[in-house]
Amino acid sequence: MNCEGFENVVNDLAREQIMEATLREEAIHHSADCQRCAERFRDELQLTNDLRHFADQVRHASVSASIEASLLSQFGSHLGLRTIPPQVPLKTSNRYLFYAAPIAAVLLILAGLIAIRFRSREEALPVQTAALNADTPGSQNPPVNATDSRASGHIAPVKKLKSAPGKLSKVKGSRTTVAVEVAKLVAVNIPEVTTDFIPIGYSTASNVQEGGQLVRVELPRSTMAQFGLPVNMERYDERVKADVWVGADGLARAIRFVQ
Amino acid sequence: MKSYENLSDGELFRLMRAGDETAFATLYRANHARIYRFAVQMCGSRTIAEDVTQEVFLILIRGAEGFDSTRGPLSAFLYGVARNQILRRLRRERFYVALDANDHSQNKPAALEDPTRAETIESVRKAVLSLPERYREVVVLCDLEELSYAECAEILGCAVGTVRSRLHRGRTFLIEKLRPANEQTETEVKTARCFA
Repeated sequence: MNCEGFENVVNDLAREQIMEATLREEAIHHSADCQRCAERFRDELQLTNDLRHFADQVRHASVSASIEASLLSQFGSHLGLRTIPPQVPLKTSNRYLFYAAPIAAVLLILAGLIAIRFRSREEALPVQTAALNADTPGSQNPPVNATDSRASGHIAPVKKLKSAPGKLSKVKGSRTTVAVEVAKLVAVNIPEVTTDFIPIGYSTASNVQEGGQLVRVELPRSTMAQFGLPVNMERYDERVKADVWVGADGLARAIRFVQ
Repeated sequence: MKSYENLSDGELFRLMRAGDETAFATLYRANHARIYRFAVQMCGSRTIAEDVTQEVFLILIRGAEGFDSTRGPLSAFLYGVARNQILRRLRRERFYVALDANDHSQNKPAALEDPTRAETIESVRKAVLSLPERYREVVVLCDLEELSYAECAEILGCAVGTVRSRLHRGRTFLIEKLRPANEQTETEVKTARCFA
């Protein structure tokens, strides 16, 4: 081995690294023969020794415990902030949630709308049935009694209806039951002064229960006289509003006058 | 109960990523000392070394995106992160001079027992710190931390031959610096190898 070869291996030799046995022997032989290489080898050994002393001094140095505590708290807070790294199954579940959430929201809205609709229908039905089928056939007080009315010529007192829409008021007179309920349907917000319903022809309670509709008409004021109502002769030629109850068969069953 | 001490670094890292705090604590206790030593020997300041150690493990907490267990051990990755942090700190603070020169003194009782040895160690420390960074890191890793050439090459991201040549050059610099002043003027270290 020459000096150049020795220079290549002197580090490993001084640091006691694993190397080929023959190469090691040659290097040691060369250092024994060459004074310059021997000095070089000695310097390297000294440096290795000094570095080991230095390393030993620092070997047991350690970070203060507060840093570990700080890092552990950081780890805990980081766990709170981050989500677990998304794996494949988690991704699919996230995707499922991504699509399921809007669908669930739409379904909830639809269910709410349906519920509101049903509720409003349920509220409307009793009013209609009360209006159209106010009394049962076995009722003791039929709503319209044509013969009595016509025969006695009794005119029901004019009532002022101030009912709020959608609310049922308490029915006082059995005779005026239908009239009141129908009037409630007609009277939206504006209070009207009306007479009771006066039966036309030979209407009975059963005729009225068959159903029908209320038609607002305008008639000559003289018509009131035909039903036995008092007419102001000064306003004889004026027209007057009236509600005609038209039965299911298309025939007028009752009438009332509106002021 | 799991025996965390028997788990490899890769397994501990996986558990840590899943939120296991004990796995992180085990990883920290297994690796923090060497990272801290590397930082102390590289920059000579305990304060900076503690900052660097903390930063390295904070990066680990935040996910350690660059770590691939198939490419190498976790310790090599941590050394690499520490090295980048140290170089960044050194470049940032190269314009400043430390007022407290005794920041490095770690074992004063021992130094008082053997003044000559303490003096030698201090001179070695200064010589190591005066090395250019590229030689210093190789000397620290191979001589002080006693890592193999391959491990050092993995940490530094260079070839084994590069590590060998840098170590050779670094040690030569150290010998020159540690040679007594009178001896240094008489005989210059002349090597038969060209380091260009």
